[in-house]
Amino acid sequence: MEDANKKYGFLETEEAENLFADLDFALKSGQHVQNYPHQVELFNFLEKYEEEMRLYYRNLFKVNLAGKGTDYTRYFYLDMDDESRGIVKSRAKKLSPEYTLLGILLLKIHRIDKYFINDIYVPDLIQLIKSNDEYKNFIYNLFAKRREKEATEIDESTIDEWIRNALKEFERLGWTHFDPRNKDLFEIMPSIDRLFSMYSYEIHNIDRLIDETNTITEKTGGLYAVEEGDAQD
Amino acid sequence: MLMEQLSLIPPALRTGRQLHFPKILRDRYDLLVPRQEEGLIILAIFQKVRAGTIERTFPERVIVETIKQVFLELGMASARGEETQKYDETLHRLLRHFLDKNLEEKTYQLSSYAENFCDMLEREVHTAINPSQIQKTFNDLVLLLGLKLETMDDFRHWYHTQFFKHKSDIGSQLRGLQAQIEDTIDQLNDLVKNEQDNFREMLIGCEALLDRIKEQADKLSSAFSSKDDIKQLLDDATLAEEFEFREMKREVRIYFKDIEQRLINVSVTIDRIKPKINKLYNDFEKRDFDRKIESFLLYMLKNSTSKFGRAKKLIGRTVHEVEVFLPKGMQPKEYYSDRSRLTGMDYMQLLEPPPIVVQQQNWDEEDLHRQAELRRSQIARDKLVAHWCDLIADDAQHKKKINFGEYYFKILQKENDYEAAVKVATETLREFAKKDGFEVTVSEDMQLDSKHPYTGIWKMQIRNTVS
Repeated sequence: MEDANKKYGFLETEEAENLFADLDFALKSGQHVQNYPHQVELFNFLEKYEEEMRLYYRNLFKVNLAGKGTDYTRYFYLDMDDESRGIVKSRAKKLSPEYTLLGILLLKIHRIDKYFINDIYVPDLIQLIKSNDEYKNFIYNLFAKRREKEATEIDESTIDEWIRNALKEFERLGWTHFDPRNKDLFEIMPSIDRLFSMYSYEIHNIDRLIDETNTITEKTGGLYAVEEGDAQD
Repeated sequence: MLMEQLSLIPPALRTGRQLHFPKILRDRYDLLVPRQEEGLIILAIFQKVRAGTIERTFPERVIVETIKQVFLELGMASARGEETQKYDETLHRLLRHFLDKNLEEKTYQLSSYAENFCDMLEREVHTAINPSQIQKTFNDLVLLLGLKLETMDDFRHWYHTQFFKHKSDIGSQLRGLQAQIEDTIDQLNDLVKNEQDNFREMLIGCEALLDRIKEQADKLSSAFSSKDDIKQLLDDATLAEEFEFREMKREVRIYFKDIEQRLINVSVTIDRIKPKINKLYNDFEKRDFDRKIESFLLYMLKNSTSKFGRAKKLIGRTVHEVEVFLPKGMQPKEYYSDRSRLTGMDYMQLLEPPPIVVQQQNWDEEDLHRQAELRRSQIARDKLVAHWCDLIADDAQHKKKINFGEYYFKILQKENDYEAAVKVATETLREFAKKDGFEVTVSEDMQLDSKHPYTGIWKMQIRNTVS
């Protein structure tokens, strides 16, 4: 018992009394904790006892406390590695395809096109997504089954809803942070990079993936062979 | 003597007096230093001899062919009829210092001056960096200097032959390194400007080249360490009283210092370029990564599919219920979320009674009296209706037949309340229509009353079928 106390000494600290419950809840909810004003206390507490907490989550919950980035872009989250994936399978949640698509879109707009410097006004983002020639047709096709010009009010609301819901989910994950005084204003957090790591293999091999898809399309005329239990619809 | 004059810095340079070059040098300068086309002709012949494509001695035809080639390459072709004269003039100029003619055999060969000139050109452009050779050169210099410090004549000989010869070798090695760095910088600039397809490979090539140059510079520095032995020998020499010795010693020291500085510069330049190469790498990697993200996004948007459900009504808007599927083979990614367990805690709170919330009631005090009166009149009417309903029911129980119209007009007369009368009628008829032992009949005969001339009611009778 004495050993255990030493191993997880952070639990005995005064900081733990004030912060650990919130931190633990956030991490176990899938949230990413980073060095930003709204999470700075949790972040500092976590960073201070990083190794002890890593052991704590590893030994008691069989999950890895991952830390990525440096300085102001550093963030923490609980992750399942190969060892723990089987053990805690029931505690895994999938990032829905809808949210995945918006996440990648957000990264492209923010990181590559650099459309927004800091705060992003949600109606501006919606407007940008709906008017960008590069991808608007794909989006209207996915969420309205129509072209932009033929879109009805319901179609437009569906796209708005998709974007707003995804942003809410990202807020829950700690990938975005909404201004408490203005619910239409948000900031992208460094931890949204997690989406890059999630799809790093696919991103790095995208050229091969496209080639393979094109080959299949040429061979089958666009029809895939449906394997057992593989049908999506 | 000429060698000595050329080798030493003329005293006039130090004193600022007017320069006096030997007359012969001034007169022959244009012939000693070839024009571009002449230099290239000599160099082409030199390379042909060395490659064995022509003999060491060659006929005039070979020179004329080479002149033609070089002129063509430089775009100096002459008008028809003037070529022979031009070739002839060039040949004659070259014969002054660069070509020797064998009058008996009518053949030509390159002069020693021409061979030295070509050798010097090649060494200047393509110096094979050879630190171990420099090491040997320095060893020789030290060894010979040790033997040449007895008399001023000996030292002078060492200075003008050994030191000057090797000084040139060392200098060309350093120029070779600097030229390699400049080539690498040009390649890098070209790479940045032109965005070549094999950018990454080229960058790796440049980086490897710089590493090699740095390595060679380090080796040269190491080979150069014998300079300290030379300095020491010069310091210990007994010739220090000689002004000429001191001057020469000063030249040697300045030269070593210069070489040392140039080697440092090579390293500094490379250290300065390295971060730029790293930045180019990063930029390239970032550009490549950005491009891949763009491709990935378009791939995902293009190949994802969706299925539509019913329209969903939300507050203030209606939306499609849409389920999206990622492209075939692309799985949604998992993240750790143990929320189900955590939200279970919410049930614990239900075991404790929620705190009592004190609600603040706002009363419209001015309207209270009106509301109270309204409520009182409603209660009074309800009582009135109940009283008449009870009365009629009682009568219906005890009499064989009652005529509801009579009660209706009595209510009107006594209570003067139409609403109450109608309500009694409704309640009574509803009750007796369903009640066993009673029969309700409504005839289309209008029943009137003289006290209420504007009111009429269908004749309605309740008959007690039991009694």
